[in-house]
Formats: sequence, C-alpha cells, structure tokens
Amino acid sequence: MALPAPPPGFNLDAEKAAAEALARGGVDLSGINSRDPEPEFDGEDPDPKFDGKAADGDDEAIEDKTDNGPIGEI
Amino acid sequence: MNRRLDARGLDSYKVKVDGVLSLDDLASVRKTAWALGALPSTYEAITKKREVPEGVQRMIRNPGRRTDKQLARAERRMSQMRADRARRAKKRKAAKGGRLIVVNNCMKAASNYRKNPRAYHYLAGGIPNLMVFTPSPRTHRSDCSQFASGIQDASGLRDLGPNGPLYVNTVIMSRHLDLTTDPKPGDFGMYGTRNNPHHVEVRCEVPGHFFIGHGSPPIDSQTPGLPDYYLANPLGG
Repeated sequence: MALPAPPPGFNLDAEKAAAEALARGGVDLSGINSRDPEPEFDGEDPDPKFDGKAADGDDEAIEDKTDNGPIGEI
Repeated sequence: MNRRLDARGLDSYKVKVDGVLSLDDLASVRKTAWALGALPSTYEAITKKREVPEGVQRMIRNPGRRTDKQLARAERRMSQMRADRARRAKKRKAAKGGRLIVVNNCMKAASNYRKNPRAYHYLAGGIPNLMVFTPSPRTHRSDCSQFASGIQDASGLRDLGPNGPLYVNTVIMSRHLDLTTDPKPGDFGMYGTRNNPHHVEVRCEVPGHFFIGHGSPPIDSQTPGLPDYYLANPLGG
C-alpha cells in the first residue's frame, strides 16, 4: 500500500538540528527512554511508613571479594 | 550497577553494557551513588566533571562495605523516595480512559525497548511509519514525534496534527494542540519554544518512568530535566 504524500512544507528540520547537536555532545538518541527527574532527597528523616532497605539483601552485597578495605567517606 | 539500580526501584536508570560510557551512563552512575549514600559533593561531581571516583566504583561493586554513615544516608534517601512515589502514585490514579491507554502503551514500548536496545535506532526522516512497539528497519523514521504520534495512534485517539498520524512533528504538534499548565498523564512535554520546539516526551507519571519518549531530552530546557511547556492530549477517538 502506498504511503500518503507528505503535506507541503512538512519537514523535520528542528528535530534534526536538535538531534545533531545532542549527538555531538555525546547524548544517545537511539532508544525509547523512560526517566523520572524525581527529587533527590537528602538530609530528611526517613518516613516511618517506608523502609529504606534495598531489595534482595543488596545493601549487604559484596561482589568483589578481593576488595577487602573499607570504603572511606565519599 | 544494574543490580544496584534494580534492587532500589531505579530500573529506568539501567545502562546498556556496550563498553562506552555515555552521558546517560554517567547520569545513571550519579543516581546509583546517590542511592548508595555517597555525599552530595561526590555524586554531583560525577556528571559535572564526567569522572567516576574510585570510591564510587568500589561502593557499587561492594555495597556491603559502605560506612555506617553511607548506609544511613542511603536508607533515609530510599525511604523518602518511596514515600514520595507513593504520594505521586496516589495522584496518578486519576488517570483513566484514553490517558491510561497512552501511559500503558508507553510503558509497553519502553519495556520492549529495554529487552532489545541494540535493535533500535534514531532517524528524523526516512520512511514514515507508526512502529513503536517493535524496532523498525534502519530506513524508517524513528524519532521523538514519530513515537508520540505512534503511541497516540495505537491508543485509538485523535491525531496530533492535521495531516494524519504519519506526518506529525513537534512544530505541527505545537500549532495543533492546546497548551496546558496543569499537565496530566498522557499529555506532551515539549522542549524549545512554542514556535520552534525540538523535542517531545509523553508525561506518564509512573514512578521511575515519569516521562517516556524516543531519545534523550535536550539538556538546555529552562528547567533542566523538565519540559519547557506542555501540550494537552486531544484524547477523543
């Protein structure tokens, strides 16, 4: 089935220019991305209704057993 | 790092393992460092200086070796993040009908993408199409407004422009759709000016997936990380 002809004047110049500028800056445009610019809380007390532990015991995970030293304050 | 993100409900920040450290990857490292309890000066420097300190690399590999202070900071941050997400999820329940279909279709498209990211591409131009749930051939148009229009079409809602769903771009969207200052799930976040926008994302309000779109948002919006303005979804059918 043939596609309908584009309407006169239809172009993607704005998107192309923005995409090229972003690509030059190293931004990856290739995918369908989801993101959430949610607030990054810091300093607030924990909410008593919500615990702060990671799932699956990940807070205790040690994947590189050769790295024995403590992690300093960073 | 992807395991750290998964365990903390930050799966939308997971990275492609391709040997290349992109700006998106650095943003993910920053978020991981925040979630693991690094100091603000440490995680903010990751994207500003484009460097990942050795200490951050070590805490990502071995979160079990963090200091008590880091662990306590991480738990406070996670607790507050979960509380905030619960508040937002309550608000999002107002989404229904066409808006809910749009959000669900965006989530489906993003989920499909994450299963096979290398199969996708970016092309402003090329053969017009409405493919959003599967990767398209490299000759096919695959960009932000093509994604928005494809989702709208798949949701059975009104076109985003007067020329049918195949010929929609951000400028046409901006001329055709109404501005809204009270955006809801399913509305469109626009980047750039009203007359010359250059990027669009769909506002979904799903925790961790507040915006879904094709490509990354420009970093030059008036409020970094947030659209410059919103267009209302015309809904209907």
